[in-house]
Amino acid sequence: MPNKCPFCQRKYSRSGAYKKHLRNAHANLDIVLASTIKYASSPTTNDNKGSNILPHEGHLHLDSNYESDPDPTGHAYGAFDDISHKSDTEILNETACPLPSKPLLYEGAGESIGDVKGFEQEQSNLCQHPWSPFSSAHGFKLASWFIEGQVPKSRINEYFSSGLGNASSAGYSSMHTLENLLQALDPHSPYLQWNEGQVDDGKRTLPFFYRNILDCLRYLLRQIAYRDDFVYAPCREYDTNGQRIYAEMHTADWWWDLQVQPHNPFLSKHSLTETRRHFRQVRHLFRS
Amino acid sequence: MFDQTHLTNFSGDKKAWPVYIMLRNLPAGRRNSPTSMAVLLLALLPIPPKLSKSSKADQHQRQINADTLRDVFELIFASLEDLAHDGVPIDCADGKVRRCFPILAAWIADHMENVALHGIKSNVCPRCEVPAVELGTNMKVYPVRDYAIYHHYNYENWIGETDNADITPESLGISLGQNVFYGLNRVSMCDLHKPDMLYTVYLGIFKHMMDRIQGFLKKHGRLEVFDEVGKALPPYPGFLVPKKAYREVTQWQGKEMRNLGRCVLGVLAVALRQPGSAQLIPFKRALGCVRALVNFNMMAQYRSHTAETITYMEDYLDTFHKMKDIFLEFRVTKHIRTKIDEQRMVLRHDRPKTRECIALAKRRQMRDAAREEETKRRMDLIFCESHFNFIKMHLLSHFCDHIHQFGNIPMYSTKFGELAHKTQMKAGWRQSNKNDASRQIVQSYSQQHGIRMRLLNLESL
Repeated sequence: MPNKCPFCQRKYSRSGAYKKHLRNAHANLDIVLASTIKYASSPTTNDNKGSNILPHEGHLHLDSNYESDPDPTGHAYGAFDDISHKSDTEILNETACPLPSKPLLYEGAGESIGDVKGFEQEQSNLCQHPWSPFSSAHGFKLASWFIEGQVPKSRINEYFSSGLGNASSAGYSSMHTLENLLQALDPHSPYLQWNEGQVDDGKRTLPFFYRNILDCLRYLLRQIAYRDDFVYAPCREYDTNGQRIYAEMHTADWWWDLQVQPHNPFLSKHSLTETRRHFRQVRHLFRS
Repeated sequence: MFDQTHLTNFSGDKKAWPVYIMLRNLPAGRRNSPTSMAVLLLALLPIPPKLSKSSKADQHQRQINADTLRDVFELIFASLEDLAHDGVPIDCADGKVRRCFPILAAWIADHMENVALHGIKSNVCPRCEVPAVELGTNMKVYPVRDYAIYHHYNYENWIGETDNADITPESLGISLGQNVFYGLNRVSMCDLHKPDMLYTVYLGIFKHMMDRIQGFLKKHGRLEVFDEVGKALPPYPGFLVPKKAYREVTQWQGKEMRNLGRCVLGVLAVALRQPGSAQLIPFKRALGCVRALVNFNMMAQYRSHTAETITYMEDYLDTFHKMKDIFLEFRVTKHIRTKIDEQRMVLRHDRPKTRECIALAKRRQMRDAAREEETKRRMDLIFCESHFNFIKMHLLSHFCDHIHQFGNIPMYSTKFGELAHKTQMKAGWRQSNKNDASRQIVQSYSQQHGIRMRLLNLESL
């Protein structure tokens, strides 16, 4: 069912088109759109960008009933001044509040016990030969296209045998040679070997497949792609008011309670969690 | 993550039972992104045959299946033994070696999968020993389940080994089989269960409440208005405009219910405008109940919490539980309908049969009185028998406690597992020749994974 714009009765079935229409045709109206706030958030730094997005500058200045006057330079952000400006109370709070306090890190957690052998060499090899074991970027991209496009093996063989593809530039000439290259593509693929098991449910024997769970962890921890994101230690984060923030798992209680404390190895971490839970239940009872 | 999925939609009834593994050392934004390749397929389990509930032979087969499942998981978790205490040096991505302590922290699965793995009955909580008749309350005073103790009890001679004769496997909701996580070091088995936005909130409570709201609106003659307002919503960035009324749609997906949650309060408020004098209080309570649920849902979606936001969540949940009784009468189950029929038969049987000798006007009066009596008794029975004692209503009470321990709730949603099914299971199934498909599924994705990981590693250099 097509929907009508409440301001001009035009019909729109898609929200994207409706959003564009609001931005262009009704920019002078007091419509608080997330996107327009985003565009209006930095009027002094992105002037050119803003004027491209909101072309009807004249309309904006015509309807200037807002508290702040339009920008004398004719910027298109005048209409959003009341949106982009913060209220007086917010400004007061902002000046009164201290800077966010630093997260409290768990002492000694996540410290390294040595260096990985051959890590530098591995990185330099990856920089020098980014498409290894493929001979060229063309060969890698073609292989990627075959695999991502889920091209059948027979069609890949046909591609090379019919002369459509240049085997010398690709570095392989059949699916068989391509599979060999793909096996050597990931240097850590031995961590991801599959094991096969059998279960007997009394009536029949069924196969199942599994990987070594520790090797899977080794594989994930070894990937350079996640290097900047890994968290190795729990911490406690606080907001500007000093209140504890619970966001990711490393900022919550479980990891902190369970972390091995070298100075107190006999402390039962499980009992800490249980005690904490008990206190919460008691607190809830008092509240209710 | 652990979830059974259908590989075929219409024929063949082929299923897969994959287990995925993720590292919690990666922040949720990176870990759950489908392009980050951080979800690894750990195992592809055998699918047990579907069994009926009644047959004794099937009960025996069910026991065998539970034991088999436990053996399979013992094999999978075998390499983690002792590492939780002693640790193991692992090469990390920054070129350093660290002593790591791999510990199972979460098991993301829907409720029925948790039931199978924890060895409990379907209408009990995997985290606490709440009785089935109190699932609809918001009390948090029930003891946490201690699966280690359950393991040591002998199922056959239960009463003889416990101090309290009232505690039985039935009262605790323990079913056949044992918890497959038993024996894992430093793992609190009751904490493995995680709150799930998809199945608990969107497809659980929201769906349930919408059914009751429909009944409420029908009773007060506002159902048509509700449908019309719902269909007349204007488009808005990030909001999918519903093209059909709620009752016209047969199957609701999680994202559709989430979308509905954004607009249901406004639509309901418009549908319930200008109430009559008798409708004033019920309308106010209904709006208050839905508002509390929507607010709770909004707060549960927060990516970071403070003590203040958690208190808000608890308050919204308390308000919801206080006001939910307004919808009590609007879900007549099959069981209640049977009781109503029985009651009607009894009433008609007991009615005096001396109709012929009574005047017509008198007879009409008696018929009206009997009808009123029947309606009154039916409503009494519905109020008496209806309840909110179902598991998803109770699971909401663990949300706030979970945030303190494990962080925000959306990152534990099962929707990420459903996404992994799409790329790692269903694509592999379509590529296979359908003979010995499991083997082909596990092999087909590895090539794709290798190429994507190389690209990600090159980007990060």
